Parts: sequence; C-alpha cells; structure tokens
Amino acid sequence: MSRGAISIGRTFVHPAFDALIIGGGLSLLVAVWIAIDGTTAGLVMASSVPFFLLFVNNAHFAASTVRLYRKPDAFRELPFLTMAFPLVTLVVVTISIAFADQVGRHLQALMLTWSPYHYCAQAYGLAAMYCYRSGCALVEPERRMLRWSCMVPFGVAMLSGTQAGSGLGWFVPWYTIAESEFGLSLFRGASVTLGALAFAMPVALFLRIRARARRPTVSGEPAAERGMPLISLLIIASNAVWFVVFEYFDAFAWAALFHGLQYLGIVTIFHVRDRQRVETVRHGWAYHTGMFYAACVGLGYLLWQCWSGAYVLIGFGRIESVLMIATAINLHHFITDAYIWRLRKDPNRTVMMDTHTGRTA
Amino acid sequence: MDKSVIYRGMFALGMVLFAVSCVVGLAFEVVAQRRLPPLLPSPFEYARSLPDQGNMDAFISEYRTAVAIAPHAGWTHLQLGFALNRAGDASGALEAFRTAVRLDPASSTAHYNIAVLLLRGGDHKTARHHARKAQELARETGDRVDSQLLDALGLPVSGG
Repeated sequence: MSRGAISIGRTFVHPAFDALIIGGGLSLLVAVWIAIDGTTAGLVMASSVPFFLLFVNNAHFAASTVRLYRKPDAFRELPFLTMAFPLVTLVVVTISIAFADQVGRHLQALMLTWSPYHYCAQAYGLAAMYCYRSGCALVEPERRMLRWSCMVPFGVAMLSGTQAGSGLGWFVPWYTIAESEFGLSLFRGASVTLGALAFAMPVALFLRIRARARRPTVSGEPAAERGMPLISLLIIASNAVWFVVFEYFDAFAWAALFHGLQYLGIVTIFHVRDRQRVETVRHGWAYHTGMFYAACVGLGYLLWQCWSGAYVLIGFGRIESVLMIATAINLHHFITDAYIWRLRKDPNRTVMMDTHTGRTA
Repeated sequence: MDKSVIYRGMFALGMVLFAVSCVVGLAFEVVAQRRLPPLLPSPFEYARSLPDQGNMDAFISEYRTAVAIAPHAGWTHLQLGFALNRAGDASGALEAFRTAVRLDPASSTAHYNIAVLLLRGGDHKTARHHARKAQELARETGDRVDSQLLDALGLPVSGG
C-alpha cells in the first residue's frame, strides 16, 4: 500500500465486523433508520429494551470484571483491584444507600458525569489502538490532538447534562445559568462551538496525518508509514454523533447501547486471544467466546437484577437501593476498565499487535 | 500482618457478602414479590404500587428520596409532581412541576401538567401559556399534546 493511502485499517476479525461493532458503524446505520422511519424504529427499539439491557448493556458492565479475573497474572499484578476492591465497593454501596441524600447524591452525579468521559476515553483508546495496529505511528502533537478530538464530546455532555443534574448541573442548577443573559449566551456559544469541534477536529487530524504520510521526510521528522485508518475516524465520529446530535437522555441511551456492544466486541477479542495463547488444552475461538459471554450475562444479571433486592429486604428504600447499585456498578466498571487495558509490559500489547501466532478470533 | 493476607481476607469477605446479597435478593423477589426480578428494573415501580396498599406517605417519601438524590435534575421533580398529584396535593404537585420546568425548560410534559393543574384552578391565562409551550416543545420532538386540554383552553390542536 502506498504511503498515506486511505484504508479501513488493520482489523481484528473482519472489516465489516470491526467497522459495525467496534467502530460504531451500526449505531450510525440505526440513526439513519430513525431519521427515515422514526416510528417503526422507535417501536422496534422500545420493545427490544429488556433484551438489549440483559444481553448488551448489563453484560458489558460485567465484562470488565470477568476480563479482570480471567486476565493472566491479574491477582499478582493488581492485588488491590482484584482482592480488596470488591469489598470496598460493597461498603461504599451500603454507605451511599444509607445516606442517599448526602453521599449517594454526589456519587450518582459523579457517575453521570464520569460516564461520558469513560465513553470518550474508550473512543480514544480504540482509535489510537487501530492507528498503531495499522502502521500509523502518531507523533506527540497528533496523539494529543487525537485525545482532544475524542474528549470534545465529553465537554458537550458536561453542558448538555446540566438540565439532568449531571456535568455542570452537578454544581450549578440550570436556572442559575438561564437567569443571566450572559450566562445563557456563553452556555449556548460553548455548546455550538464544542459540537462543531467534535466533528472538525478528527477530520483535521485525519488530513494532517495523511499529509505527513505523503510528504518526504525532512529534518529528521518521522514519516507516518500509513495514514490514519478510517476505522479510527469512524470510532471518533460515532462517539461524537451520540453526544452531539442526540438529546442528552437519548445520547445516554444510544451511547450505553452501542458503547456496550463495542466494549463486548473488543474485550471478547482480547480475552479469546489471551486464552488461546496461554492455555495448554486448545479450544476454538467459539468456545472461549461462548464461555466468556455467558459469564458476562450471568454476572450482569446478578449485579443488575438480583443485588438490590437484598437491600430492600433489610429495610432500605427501593429507589435508593436501585439507583445506588446502578451507580456503584458504573463506577466499579470505570475504575476496573482503567486498569485492564494497560499496554506496557502487558499481554494486551501482544494481542493489539497480533505478534504471536497470527490466529484470528 | 502481611498485606497479601489482608487482601485475601478482604477478597473472601467481599465475595461471600456479594454472593449472599445476590441469593437473598433473588429469593426476596421470587418469594415476596412472586416473580423473577424484572429485566428492566424501574426504581419507581415499587413506589407506584404503594397507594393501592393504602400507604400514601411511603409513596410520597420514595419520590422525595429521588429528589434528594438528584436535586438538580428536572425529571425527579417531574416524578414527584405526578406522585403528589396522585396523592391529591395539587398545590404541591404544581410546585414540583414548576421546579421541573425551571431545571429543564425543554420538558413538554412538565409544561403540560402545569397547564392542566392551572386550568383546574381556574387560571386560564397562565394555563394557555404553558399549554402553548408544551405544544411547541412536543412538536420539536414529534409528539402531540392531548387535544382535550387544548380544546378546553380554546387553543388550536394544530398549534398554529
């Protein structure tokens, strides 16, 4: 392939699978379906909510935990996270339920504010991973620009969440902004600017890397062997669409569904390749995928559907039990996730670069 | 004491507590509620059953808890408004809907409910303002406002 040529990138499974599931392309297709026939799409989506919750959303929250405990050497390398953190989480959940209006309130606002950051950080991680996998070595300013491109939708969510009491609304209720004409203009100006940047920055980055890849190297500057892969651009664009195009609550629903699907896809690929590398008795990818996914669905059911009943039984209110457990599951997922994707001195790097046997999941 | 021993102890305790919580939680739903836990657990589902059991104070208290957890979120005040209205506290409901509108001016539902309560209270002028606003916001999202309210206020259903 010539330098700077446009390509989908080096995919893990198949260009269509990677683009639709991990790249978020499926979410864009569904968005087009909604735009064309919103009534039918809305009915189908609404009737599928319990299915999506159990098999995608809840399973993805459990996936980070399942991945943590199935990761080679996790207990040795992450002793606090693997052994102490579950008990810490239980204690925090109980305190936040018991003091829902003091502690729980801030934990929930933290969770709702952290959530879009987590989605954007995932978009950055995946986009950078596909760049490196595809031979597009990012120089420092490009890496920073990629990170900012992915993080702009978080800024959008910080503002759009105000009316739902998250993001800026955690500290400032909407009416204090709306009461001042200057505040309102500033808020609207910032929303529009960030919304435009969310799409303009990744395109500018794509063109910048492509230009660097095509020009001859001068004064010791490294050339990008390849341009930025299209799948990286797709990942950033789909994340931006969720938070910029959709209303706040719709954005959360879309992001939760398709981020969950994206997460399950990539975490399963890493799990399967890890297992195939370390196990002595060889199993096929279908076996590892099935076992991993079954564990995620099972743990997801226990966490989301069964756990809160215990708190109600011992006398806490249903509302605080359900809301605080949902909050704790989210926060536990965000924290665990920050550790399980490390690359330095980690088997993850081997999987990312496919430097072992070259087998595919 | 060796740190790893403490970690192992914490792990064992955490796992046992979590497993017991899940089993007890599942048993509670199956035995007391006579069903499997719903796939789509709504925090308000239980609260909604309380008025039928004659427990109106607990009913309102559940919604006030939601407001305490998310005091800057328009949707919690909206839900409290529904609950207070169901409990027969029209002025409390109106106040909750007004707070919902202050926090989330784009809530068509909150404007609609303010219009309904004001109409019942005889304040047609302000009711018309909120009904128009509800209609305008609903149109933006492809929804419609109940035509009975619009008829009662002499507003065109088409919103023109």
